[in-house]
Amino acid sequence: MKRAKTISRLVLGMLLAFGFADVQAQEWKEKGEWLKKLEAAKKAEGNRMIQYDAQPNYANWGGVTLFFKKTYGIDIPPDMKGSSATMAALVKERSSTVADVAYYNSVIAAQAAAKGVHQAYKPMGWDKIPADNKDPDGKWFSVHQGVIAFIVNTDALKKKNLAVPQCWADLLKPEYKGLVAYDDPTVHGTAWESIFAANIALGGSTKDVKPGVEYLKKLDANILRYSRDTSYNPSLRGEIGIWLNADGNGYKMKHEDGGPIEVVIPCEGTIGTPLGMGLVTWAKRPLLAKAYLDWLFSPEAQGIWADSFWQPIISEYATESAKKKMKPLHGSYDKVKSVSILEKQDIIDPYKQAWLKEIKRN
Amino acid sequence: MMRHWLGALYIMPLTVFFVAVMVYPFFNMVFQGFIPSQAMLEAGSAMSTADGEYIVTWDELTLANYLSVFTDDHIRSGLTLSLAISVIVSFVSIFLCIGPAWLLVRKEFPGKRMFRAILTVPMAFSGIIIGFLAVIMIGRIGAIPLITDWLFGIPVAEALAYSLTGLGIAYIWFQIPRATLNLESAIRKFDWDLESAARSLGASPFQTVRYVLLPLLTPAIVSTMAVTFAVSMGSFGVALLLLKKATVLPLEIYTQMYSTLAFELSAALSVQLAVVTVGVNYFLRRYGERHYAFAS
Repeated sequence: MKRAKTISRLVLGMLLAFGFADVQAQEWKEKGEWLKKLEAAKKAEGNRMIQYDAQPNYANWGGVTLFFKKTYGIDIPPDMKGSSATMAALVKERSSTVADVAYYNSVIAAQAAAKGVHQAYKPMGWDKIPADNKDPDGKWFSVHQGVIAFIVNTDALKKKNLAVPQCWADLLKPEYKGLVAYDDPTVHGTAWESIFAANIALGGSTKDVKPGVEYLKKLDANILRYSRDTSYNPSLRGEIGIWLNADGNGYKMKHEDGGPIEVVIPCEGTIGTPLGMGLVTWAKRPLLAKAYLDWLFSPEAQGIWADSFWQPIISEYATESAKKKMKPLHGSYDKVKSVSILEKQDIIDPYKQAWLKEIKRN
Repeated sequence: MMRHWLGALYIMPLTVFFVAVMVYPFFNMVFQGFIPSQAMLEAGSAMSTADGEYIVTWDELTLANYLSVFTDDHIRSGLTLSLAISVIVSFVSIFLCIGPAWLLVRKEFPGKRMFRAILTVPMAFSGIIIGFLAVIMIGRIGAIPLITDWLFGIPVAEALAYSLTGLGIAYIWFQIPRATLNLESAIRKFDWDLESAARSLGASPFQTVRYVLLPLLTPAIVSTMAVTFAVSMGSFGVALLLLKKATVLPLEIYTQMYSTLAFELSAALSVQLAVVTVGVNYFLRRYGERHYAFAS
């Protein structure tokens, strides 16, 4: 008994560390109905399911899955694939896959749906999801979104007596050599959005990626590496000085990990990066998966994301306390330009190919 | 008769295991390598069925995947770097480890057992952990640049981890224990009387080394190189963590599979990696056994 208490205290401590203990277990209208559904699913399929791409340090999946386990008793282990790797795995594994649900950048979620790896499902709260963030049949849907920003480790810059960059153009200055990094855009969806943000900000469009490619070619001289694993920890430590990624990851480093981190919205502009999911065609635990997807659109899960600095896709669940903390050091959210997921879908592969040809393999 | 039967029964598990995890997957992979890769499929003819499953007929099989190691500059550079780094690292680790291996066999010193135990540590680490350690030591804010900056005001080896030199250092680091322990067990089998005999028959130290010790050591060196070469060729985690733009063949296999979705190309490259590695190993061992058979 005593041991159980100690363990539960430890878990509580971990919850506090994850920073969502202040999230009140929110009640929502359909909760009673949902709980029945969940119990039936647990009885039929057990208490463990698999999500491809559930990186604890990305979009606070660590916190979300821990809450789900603690409150509802279902275990979802971490999975470190990126968006493209997740799609690749599902396309390759098909009916032998162990995945029940998959998480990606929404553009890639839509691509994956087109490759037939998702089945249609409309989670609870479907009508509240904005129309441009879901497939009409429910083959994919966004769960939350971020904004592409510079995540700056101010200690790393201070050591070199450098100012915090404010614009895309600043990053090209030779003094930032070896300090800048973005992840491999052929592996990570957010990294692809990062380089696409540069293209849009610098005058490109969904039809024209030349400004982006030209910029990235020049930026290459200052890049430390194109990581295929996540750069969250290296950025927090200061190995990477300026990481191009989603703002929410930066705010989490700053407010929850207490790192010397600032978020900058570049002066030329940037874009939003929605992230989405789908129910895997060959899910072995479809009932659990459906209950889980339902829950992800509840005020509870959407609220956890809001509190960990990701904009919930159902915007009414955003919390004021988190909004107050989402203040960039430079720049403003007015600079976010809107590009629809549909438009991005046509350009994602050509831009990836251009990046491989002109930057990675050059 | 009975004994034969027992013998066959005894090797059954290994045979089944060998067929199941080596022979069948390998030939499956060889075949996959002939299928036009998905990228090609999507660009060209539509061979996919409604649910996305691909149906390939015999006349659509292609050599393109196997030839890409010649036709694609990037893939060729991966193979070249793999071969170059594996050969260099094998030589350097032999050079670094032959002395310590000799000491381990011939000399007693306090802490010898502990030393040997510690040596196995890098062998237990995966490539990704070794890459991570390289970043900690010689990354942009690694321990060595930080300490030298503090002592002398000049950061030494800053961001070295991300260069080819850094990659080589990381490879050598995980080859050192393997080379040392391999060499040690080979040297242990020596007939040391031959060395004493040479000396008592009047050979100079140089002659002893040149005509007695070196021929004795060669099979040990060759067999150790065969092991370090094979392990370096297959290593992927270190390069995954450290390389910015360059690539090694195993990393390219991963990339083709997970970012380009060219599974068939990665199958072909895997076959080629296996053939090159097994081939080099086979000839090294044959060379070692033929030329220096008397020594072991």
